[in-house]
Amino acid sequence: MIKANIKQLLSITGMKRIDHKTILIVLLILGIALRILWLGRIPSGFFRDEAALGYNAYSIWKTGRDEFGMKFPLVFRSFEVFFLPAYPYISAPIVGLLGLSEFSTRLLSSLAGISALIFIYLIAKEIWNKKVALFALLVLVISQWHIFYSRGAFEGNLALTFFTAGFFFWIRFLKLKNRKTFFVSIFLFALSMYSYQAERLVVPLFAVVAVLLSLPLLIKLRNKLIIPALLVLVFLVPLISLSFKSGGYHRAYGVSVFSQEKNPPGWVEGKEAGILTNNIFYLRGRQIASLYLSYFSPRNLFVEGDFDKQRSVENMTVFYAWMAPPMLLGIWFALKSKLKSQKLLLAWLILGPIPAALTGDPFHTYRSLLLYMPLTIFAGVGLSKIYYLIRSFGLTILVIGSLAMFSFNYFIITPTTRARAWDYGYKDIVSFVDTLPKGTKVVVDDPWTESYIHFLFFDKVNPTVYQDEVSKLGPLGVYYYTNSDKIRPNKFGEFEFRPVDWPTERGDEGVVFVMAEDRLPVSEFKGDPKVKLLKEIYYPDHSVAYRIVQIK
Amino acid sequence: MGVEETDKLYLSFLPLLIIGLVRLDKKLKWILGGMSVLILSSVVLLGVRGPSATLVFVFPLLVVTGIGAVTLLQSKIKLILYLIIVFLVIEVAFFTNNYFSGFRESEFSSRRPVYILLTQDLKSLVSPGQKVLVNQKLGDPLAFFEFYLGRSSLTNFEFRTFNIIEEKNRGIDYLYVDVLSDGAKPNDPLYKKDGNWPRNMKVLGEFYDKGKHQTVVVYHWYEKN
Repeated sequence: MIKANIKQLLSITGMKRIDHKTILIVLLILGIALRILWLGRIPSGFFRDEAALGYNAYSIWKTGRDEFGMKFPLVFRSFEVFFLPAYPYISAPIVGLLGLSEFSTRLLSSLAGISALIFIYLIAKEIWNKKVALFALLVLVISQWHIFYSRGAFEGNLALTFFTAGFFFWIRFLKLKNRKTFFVSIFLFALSMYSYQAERLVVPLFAVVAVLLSLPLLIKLRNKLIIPALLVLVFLVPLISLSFKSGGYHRAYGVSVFSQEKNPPGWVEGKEAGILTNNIFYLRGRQIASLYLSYFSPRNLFVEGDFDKQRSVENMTVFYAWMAPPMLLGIWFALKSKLKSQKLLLAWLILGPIPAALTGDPFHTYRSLLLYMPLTIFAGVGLSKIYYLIRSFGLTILVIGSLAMFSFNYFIITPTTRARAWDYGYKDIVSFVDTLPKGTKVVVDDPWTESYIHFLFFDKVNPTVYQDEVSKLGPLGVYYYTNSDKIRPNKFGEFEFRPVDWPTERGDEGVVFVMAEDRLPVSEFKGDPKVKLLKEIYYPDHSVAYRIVQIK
Repeated sequence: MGVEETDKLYLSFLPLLIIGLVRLDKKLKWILGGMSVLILSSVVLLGVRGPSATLVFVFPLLVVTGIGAVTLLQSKIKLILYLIIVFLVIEVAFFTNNYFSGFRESEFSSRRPVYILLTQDLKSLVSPGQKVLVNQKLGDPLAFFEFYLGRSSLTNFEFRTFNIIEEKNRGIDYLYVDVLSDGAKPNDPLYKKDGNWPRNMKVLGEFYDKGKHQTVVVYHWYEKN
């Protein structure tokens, strides 16, 4: 599309035609720019999970231990979320060499996003041809979901790229039938399992489908493939063994529908459970099926998007609405195709939302990231068919217009409107608090006590300082992997992180309190001569985010 | 009136529907495709989105489902069809039991008792001309408000997801209808009914939703900033 229209323009201006390679390079440059420019500043704010990933990478680089002091852990315990280890470990040299910052923490996700651009091109080229590949790349380059998740420190994005790369090498293996591509493919799939929870479920399911589809080939090559398969299995042993400890399943189970105390939809209050009434298996099954189907709902994909403000761009959804027809067309062709590679792509599409459907939250784009890559490829396939059918300049305008609309909303509007959802303000708080006289006690009001990670991050606190504080809670071996309760210090140095009981603590002389605006309105201290307002931290929309006060 | 709370198709129909779509012969494809486009565009253009109004959309889907079933019946592997039939029988049994025993429940209707009380109370709480902002977190509340209050009386109502802390700065004199979860999550607003409820947010009505373990509140921000 772009090629033909640029050709038209060039012929008018008398310039020579441009070839496939040039368009490919232009698209890649555009994709890279959209994923890396102003990475440290946009998204505006720095979410606690990002800070945790960055600080743990920094801690590993500096001490070989995580924030808790655990030597090279298998999962990172950070606020009982238990991050899988790939992101912090791969990020450690990046953060170590570039220094701890928002940019260096997000860079790995950004690079993963850029790599995914190359792999989607290669996948489409392998299954279809160079022309289709260019359209698949174009769709991914401008896809709002992919730009968004490539610009934050999201482990899920890294896992998605590993999965995509693994998929590419698998279909290469089906063609080349050699040991090397087989090993690279399954190793990348295994790496994706070490990166994000969703892949831990999808990769084994996908492996079953992939093996069943190619069983005769795998049996024929079994002598060649046994060693690489065993090597990867050994590589997965730690992850498998961890699955039986709290640290290995706590996060996945904690967000799943099975851990919810409330009854599933359809439960009739006041009635006993029976075979046909209040049958928990039937109702839970229906709930999961309903959640699963919601990931294919056009309303969610093209109109509403993710309901969570931290996981979405202002005024934008997951895909541009105009991508719906080409996407359907692409899926249609795949359904009709007898090619194994297209069947595998459909399997990826079907399996992708399963982890998200098992969690209680409706339409969670982060947990269902795996779904959007095959949808993007199908949209690229459909778009190429439509383009070669109508060859309209309107499509070029549509693409440019969509990208302009997204860029305006993402780079200009969202940093202002969504800053509070991204924990905006802690950088300013830390730089102000650093100017206070040494020894001043600072209490940060935080009901979840998670803001300590921002202080560790922005102050670039020597990891041993916090590790020493953790060591006072007892030996790590007792709880690190096995106890998912909140076991962590709520203070280090002069800082404390806990909910402030303002009416009782407002008399604590000399103490500095950092409180969110809605937790400490002006009316709570106006006219009180004992409370001195030291600083107000503002959101980008100029509203007050935090107040820092000192008791005289 | 329970039509809006009843699923139109059984879940077991879905694989048949997909198979039917793939196996559709060319003539039927055009006829059904055309019908679907017509119905869909009239639904969009006329703004009719109610479950009963879109019932007509079900018929082409049923035809395609039937084609899917016939395709499976004529195929060599009949096991899939038998499995689907087993699931269908289970679904029919559950539906029949729920429907005829009079307590057909769904994701929407689990909040129904609260909607009835809420909409009744709202009539007396809203002053003439006052705007009401209903949080979408209540779970697609528009249909129920339309049903219990009538569409014509919703001119001052707005339905969207909001956070009171952001809303209060807009300076609009809203009556808020919101939901408070039992367990606060990191992305929830920092206020809780039994905790740090801001002093100038006055609660006018409170309804506990047993089904969802949530409290639905009607409140008013009476000191504009």
